Amino acid sequence: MNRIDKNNYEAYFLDYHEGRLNSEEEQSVMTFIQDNPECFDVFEDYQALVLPIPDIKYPNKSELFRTEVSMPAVDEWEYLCVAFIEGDLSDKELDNFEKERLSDPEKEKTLNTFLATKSSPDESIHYEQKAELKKKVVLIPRWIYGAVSAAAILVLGWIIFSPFGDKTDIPQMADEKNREIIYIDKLAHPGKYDRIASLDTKIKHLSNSSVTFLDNQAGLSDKGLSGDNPIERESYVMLALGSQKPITIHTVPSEMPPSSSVFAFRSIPSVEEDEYQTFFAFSGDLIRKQILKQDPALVEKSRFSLWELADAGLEKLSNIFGTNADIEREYSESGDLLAVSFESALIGFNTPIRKKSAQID
Amino acid sequence: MRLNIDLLTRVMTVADYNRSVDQFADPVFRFVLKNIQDEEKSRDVVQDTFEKLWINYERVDGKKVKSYIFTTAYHTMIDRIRKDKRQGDFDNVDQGRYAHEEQYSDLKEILSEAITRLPADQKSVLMLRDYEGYSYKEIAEMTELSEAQVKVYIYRARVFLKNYIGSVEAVV
Repeated sequence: MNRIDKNNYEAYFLDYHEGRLNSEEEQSVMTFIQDNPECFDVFEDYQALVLPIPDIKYPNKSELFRTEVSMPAVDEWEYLCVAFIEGDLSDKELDNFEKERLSDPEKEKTLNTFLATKSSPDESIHYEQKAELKKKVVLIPRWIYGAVSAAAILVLGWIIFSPFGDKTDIPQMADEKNREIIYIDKLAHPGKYDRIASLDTKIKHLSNSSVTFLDNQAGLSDKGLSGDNPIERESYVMLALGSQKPITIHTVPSEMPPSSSVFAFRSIPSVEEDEYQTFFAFSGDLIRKQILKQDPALVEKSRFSLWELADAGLEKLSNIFGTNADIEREYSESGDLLAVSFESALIGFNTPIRKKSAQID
Repeated sequence: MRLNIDLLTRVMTVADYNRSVDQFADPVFRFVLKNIQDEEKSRDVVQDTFEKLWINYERVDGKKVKSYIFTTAYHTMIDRIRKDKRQGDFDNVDQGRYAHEEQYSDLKEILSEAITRLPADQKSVLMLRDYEGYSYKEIAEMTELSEAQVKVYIYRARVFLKNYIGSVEAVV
């Protein structure tokens, strides 16, 4: 370090208070202050900048020390006795050991005492709660899975079509409509009927009366109606029964003619033809919304899994019978199914799902 | 040709797990009980040990289940000992501590009493050696000590036991 002067005295002061100066440099600082008393205030200010080291000591330092594990002062014969018991002696060492042992009764006695240190387990001690440690396993034969799958599908069908189900808001597939039936005979007095015709309407002809049937594809035609005659989407249908005024059923509201003879019309929400691609996708959506009560906005329209089917079946049955039944699945971090457990009032089981190991390539 | 490791190590099944309860619950209980001399805590250690085995049974090599159980029991036991602050300094053996006012009926009883007086590390190592017949290397792996340390602990333990027995025989 350079000699202390007016240009560097602050650095010296700081080092002084931090204890970084040797005795000679400390003396030079003192001399500088004597020669330049106007710098003393700065010297004192710097002292306040240096935080004192708190006098705190770790109380359990002695516990942190480690002692080196080393072989203690060894009595050679004792060492050989231990080595003999542990089977550490070579054949040659063993020969020498035997000779020495037989030649000295005191050594023989020491060896015998060492041999007595060989302990053995106390067989009378038992762990009495073994049964509590064991895990129960329910082995399910393969055919059970098939039977359960079939039952699940039946349950699903029952859930969808059973009278217990709330069908009010259940969307219908375009090709699976439940058609309302209008009986032609009843149309003899149309004014008295406040019937609703819609795409769901199916016309049944019950008498031999002549009926005029008009639609936008076939034009006006007399049809000896027999059996079921469904009204198709966007069709104009006029029904004439004997001398009665023709009755029109129109299925496109915007094009509805101003006819007093039009039946009350109900527009049902149109079903997008491609909304439900498959039965499974449709069923999955239905189950998720209606039974599992999942938020439709959060539900991805995808094929539902059999697990969801099982969950839905259990949920529905639990509601109907007032019991609680639940299927729990345990997954690994990588998403593999590890175990399945079933809990209900009657039966419960837990079974691990085991994946087959990869094979030799 | 690529060999899958699963084919070389046979993982445990649930049946294997239950068999291991039958086979090893008693010896591991004896091992822990002899070490900590507290039946209730020993039962807890055994229960924890098998609980850990159950959690990991699909990852445990069936051939090494005994080692897994004893290793887990050993470490669970050591954790308990440290937690309970029951353990003093393992390395400070009071080799002169042979005061025995008890009346002994046979050598086995003397030995049993002497073992309880061993420091925990020496006691565990000696019992793994004598009760279960593990090698120095196996014990070192289980206890996370070096082989040399295991050897030293066994030597010290034997000398201590020999002196204890010798002093009792002298008194009796």
